[in-house]
Amino acid sequence: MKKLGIIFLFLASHFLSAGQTIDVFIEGGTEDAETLLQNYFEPAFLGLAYGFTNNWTNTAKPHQPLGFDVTLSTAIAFVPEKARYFTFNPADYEQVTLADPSRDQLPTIFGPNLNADEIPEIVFNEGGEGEIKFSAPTGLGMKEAIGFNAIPAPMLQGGIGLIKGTDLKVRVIPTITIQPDGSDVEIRSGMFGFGLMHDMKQHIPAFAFSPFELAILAGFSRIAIETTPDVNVPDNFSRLNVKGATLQVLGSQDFLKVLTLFGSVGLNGAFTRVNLNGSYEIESSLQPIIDPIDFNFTNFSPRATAGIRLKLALLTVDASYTLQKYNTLSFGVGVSVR
Amino acid sequence: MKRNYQLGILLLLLGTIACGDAGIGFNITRKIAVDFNVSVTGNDPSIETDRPEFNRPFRLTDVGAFEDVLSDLADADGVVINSITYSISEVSPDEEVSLDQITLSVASVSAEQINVLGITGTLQNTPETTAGVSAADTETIQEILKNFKEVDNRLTFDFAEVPTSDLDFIFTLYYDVTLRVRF
Repeated sequence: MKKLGIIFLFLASHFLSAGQTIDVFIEGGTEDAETLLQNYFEPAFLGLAYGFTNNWTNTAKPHQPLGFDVTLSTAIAFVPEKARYFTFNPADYEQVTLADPSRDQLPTIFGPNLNADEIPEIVFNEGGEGEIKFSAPTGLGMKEAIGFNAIPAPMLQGGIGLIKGTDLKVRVIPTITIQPDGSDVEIRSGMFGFGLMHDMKQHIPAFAFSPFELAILAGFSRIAIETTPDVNVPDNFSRLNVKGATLQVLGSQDFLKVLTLFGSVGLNGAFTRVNLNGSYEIESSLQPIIDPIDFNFTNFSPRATAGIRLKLALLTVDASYTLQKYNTLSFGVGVSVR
Repeated sequence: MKRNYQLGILLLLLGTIACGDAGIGFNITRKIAVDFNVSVTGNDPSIETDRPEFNRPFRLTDVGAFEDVLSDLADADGVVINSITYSISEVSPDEEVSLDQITLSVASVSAEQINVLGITGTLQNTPETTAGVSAADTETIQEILKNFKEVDNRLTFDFAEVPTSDLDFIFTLYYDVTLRVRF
């Protein structure tokens, strides 16, 4: 589990460390490079995005005006088994092929940690003067190490009651900059999100005196990871932007003022954009390639959540599980006033 | 053109946090051509005793895709030679002379030349063909490349008869090399 604690550094550095291959990938054309990178990193991007669509609330009951809560939480998005590999489809590429077309299952970042001798080779510019064969990147072997593949999404969130049964939620991880000792590498990461929850019971007379709470919630989170491999060349850097959006209908009911059961159904969206900016010299071009990588992709998933909250005076502790494309287990601890 | 491999540095970071025993590594394979522009003066009897020699080094550091990973080769089999082939081109019909032998020998910066290839018959245009270097000699070249990152190639021409006209053609040696990089 220790490995999970450095997942953000892992994501950022792995994204850039594909630099082992990025400039080779670019030799095969930037569009092919983008396709390969997207397939390889997709589980990480989706896991992160879907992770951050959780932990918006642990009750459907909004605060009273100026009531507030502060919650420290984490969501662990489990990567599905089928996302350990991706299928190399030759039709998706222009200048990249497989050395052995029968071995078309390539590891994703969440695939097994394999010796390069065991991984299928991809070929750039096959038959051309600059032909290069390259073993596809290995997975990191997280499942073999800890028993499952997952991405944690920690966050600190505050909520405040406004008027008419509406809560404003704001979540943030301040931007931090990491520069490992003795290294020219610099990694910057930060997260921001906001959401609104609105009580629906007030609009449905039949529910007016029911102990059951009903609300709708919309939330949006964005995490950005920017990595500069050499601080002496600050114009060359990568940027990973992952956004998660959610729209939910929430229900909850309190029992003995201590226990709350809550649940929701809704829709999540994951939006990812990857950039590699700067100037890169490659063998097959006399001119440097400028800003070679820029791709984005979008994914949607229905979701359903069930959870439990304990409230002891001001202290709240909650846990929930969400069924979605990347199922998610969430925990939170915080204080809630009014 | 020199490649920019600064991004590759970060692989080291990843190597420290990979979960599995295999760690992070990759194999990269390229076929590299070493061209000998052969030029022999015709009607020169001295070549019977002072045979024409042409030297060309093959340096892994000259291969853009290789240069930044040479310090991280696997301990065992860090350099693997998949094949050694050659071709002969730009031989005109009047240059098709008889050969006793074209000899290719290789050496490291600290070792003597060893003969690894002999071509006999008639000098003529030859499409890329296997050089028939023995497994033992191939292993020797691998060791040289792994230890010194370069190998000196010497091509020696022993003509059956003194050529009656100047000879100008290209002999190309191809090394198909895999670097096994492990962190």
